[in-house]
Amino acid sequence: MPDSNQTSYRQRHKPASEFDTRDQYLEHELSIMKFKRWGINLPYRDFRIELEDWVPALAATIGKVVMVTAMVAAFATQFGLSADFIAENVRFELLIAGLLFVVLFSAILNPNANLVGTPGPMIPLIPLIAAAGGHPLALGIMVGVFGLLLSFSKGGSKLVKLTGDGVRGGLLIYLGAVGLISQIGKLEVWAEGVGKSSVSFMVILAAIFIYAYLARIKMRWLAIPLASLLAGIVAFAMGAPFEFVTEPGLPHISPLYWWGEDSGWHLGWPSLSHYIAVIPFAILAVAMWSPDFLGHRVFQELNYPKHAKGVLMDVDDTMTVASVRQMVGAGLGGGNLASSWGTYMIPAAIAKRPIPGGAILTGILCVLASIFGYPMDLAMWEPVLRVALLVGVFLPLLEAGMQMVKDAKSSQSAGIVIFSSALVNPVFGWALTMLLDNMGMIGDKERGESLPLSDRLVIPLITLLVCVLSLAAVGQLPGVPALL
Amino acid sequence: MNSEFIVSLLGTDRSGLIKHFMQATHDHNGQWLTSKFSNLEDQFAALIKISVPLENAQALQDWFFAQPGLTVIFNPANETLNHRQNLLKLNIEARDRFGLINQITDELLSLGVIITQMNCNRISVIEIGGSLLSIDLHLALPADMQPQELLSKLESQDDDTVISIVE
Repeated sequence: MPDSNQTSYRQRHKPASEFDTRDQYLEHELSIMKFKRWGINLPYRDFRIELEDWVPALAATIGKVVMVTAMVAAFATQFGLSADFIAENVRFELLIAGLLFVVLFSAILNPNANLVGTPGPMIPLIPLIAAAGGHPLALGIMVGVFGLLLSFSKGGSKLVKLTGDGVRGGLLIYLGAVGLISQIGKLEVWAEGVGKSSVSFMVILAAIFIYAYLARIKMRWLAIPLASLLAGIVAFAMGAPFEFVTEPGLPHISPLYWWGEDSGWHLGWPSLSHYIAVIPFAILAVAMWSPDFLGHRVFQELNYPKHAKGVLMDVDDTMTVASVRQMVGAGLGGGNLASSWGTYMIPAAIAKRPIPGGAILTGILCVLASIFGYPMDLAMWEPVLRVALLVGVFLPLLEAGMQMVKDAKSSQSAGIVIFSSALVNPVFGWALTMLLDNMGMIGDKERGESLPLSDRLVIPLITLLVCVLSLAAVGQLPGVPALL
Repeated sequence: MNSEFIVSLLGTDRSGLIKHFMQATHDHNGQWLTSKFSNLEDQFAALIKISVPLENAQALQDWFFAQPGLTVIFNPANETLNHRQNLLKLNIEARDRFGLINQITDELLSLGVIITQMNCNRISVIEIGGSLLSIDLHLALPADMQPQELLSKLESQDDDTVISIVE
């Protein structure tokens, strides 16, 4: 293989016809690419766009529309905003993602930074954030600030080690179970509301079968598009009402509109109490980044040939881009929370494609979906939205959580997280159990003893104090009046 | 003049066992310089660095060998980690599966590599509903083994692992 430092990608590229199999060609492509970090990378000069790039692009766009819709809808329900608001805001978010970040950052400026998506596990927390008096802009800014701190301090790997398997597993199980039960409940309520009670049962039954089949053939990453499609077909065939109402066009793009007191979110600009209210949730959101980002990078590495080092995702750069995207997106008026885009990375890794080619296609698809508007109506349709969240977020969360709980020691920590999360909320549950677990009071005592004092006591104690004080300030501790 | 050696012990745990070993060391005018103990499901493993007068060294070693139900290995301290040239930090990433950690540690032991520190982290990947494993290892290699040689041997065992040297 030619030295990748001395020859250009175009010189090292060979046509697919020179290889015996398509797989060999794709692996060769992965091994000859080396991107410029924070430089200008261009299609067909530094990377190519192949047929396989459509796989992550389509999966990611469908996943994005559904996830952002779920997140904005969760906010909208709490703030009493209409379906029109949800569609408009999702369209705006798709423009921000497609135009500003996916293409510019992940395809051109730094193709080692994964696309910035939406963290599914945070969706069940949105009602709690709103109930605590949280403001989406304050949340976005705080997540961005904490994310930048984590990125610049390169503390991501430390954070992964700070939370033990049992605590992480319990948190995922709690979020997965709460989300699962909540989504099924909402679908049943909707089905009764439209006079088709049996639709929810049949739709979920169909989703269970398709999910089980995809799990069996190890193609679970296709669950969102396939199960949503099936849910839509089943519901429509059973007579559930659906119509396209969103017209093609462009959404509002002025932050003054979105953050007006009588327009957009109807919330105005955030005040100090809004920022305090979101602190614990922002801490948890960013704490969940590290294992999430690291997991995507390791999964990519395991699917690529061993010498394809130049195309691997850079965890710190992805965190930086996610933080900036979070602050810019929220500042402009979007309701999305940022994270590493898993519905892009997993199919891309399986298809043996690097980040930038599919990123360009994803950006184009996001912009097209935003302009057409029709995909919003589909994504917001209850059978599609609820099933997508069930099979794409909450069921995998539950499974991943259960896999983390391997033995009696970790199940003890997992149990305490679930217990204390039910008592207050998952932020409190996580912070309290992390302290108890790291101190060796529950779970694996030897793990606690092996940690340095900072990880065993200092950081978890400070985290717990910040979370408890913030929750107390906004009245989120049961029976304790709000301090502010 | 004292002799220094490291004794590795493996066996079924019981009440007062460590005190029993310590008493025997004292009875031979020896002392423990450093020690590490671990217990899992009633099985215990111990590493003890002992300093003992040269004339008592053999007697103390014989005493350890004579203990029933105990696997005992002695290594002279001057051939152990501090004096090995090839200290290495490795990171191994793999799909999480039953027996993987055992397989890796067995392979390292069979190559004469000593594991001085091991830290395993499970990383959940929600999109696949499963987890991956990231293992940080601090190793002491035999004097005649090069890091790349170890990497090649480990990588040849399993296609589903990615092994890298930590600088």
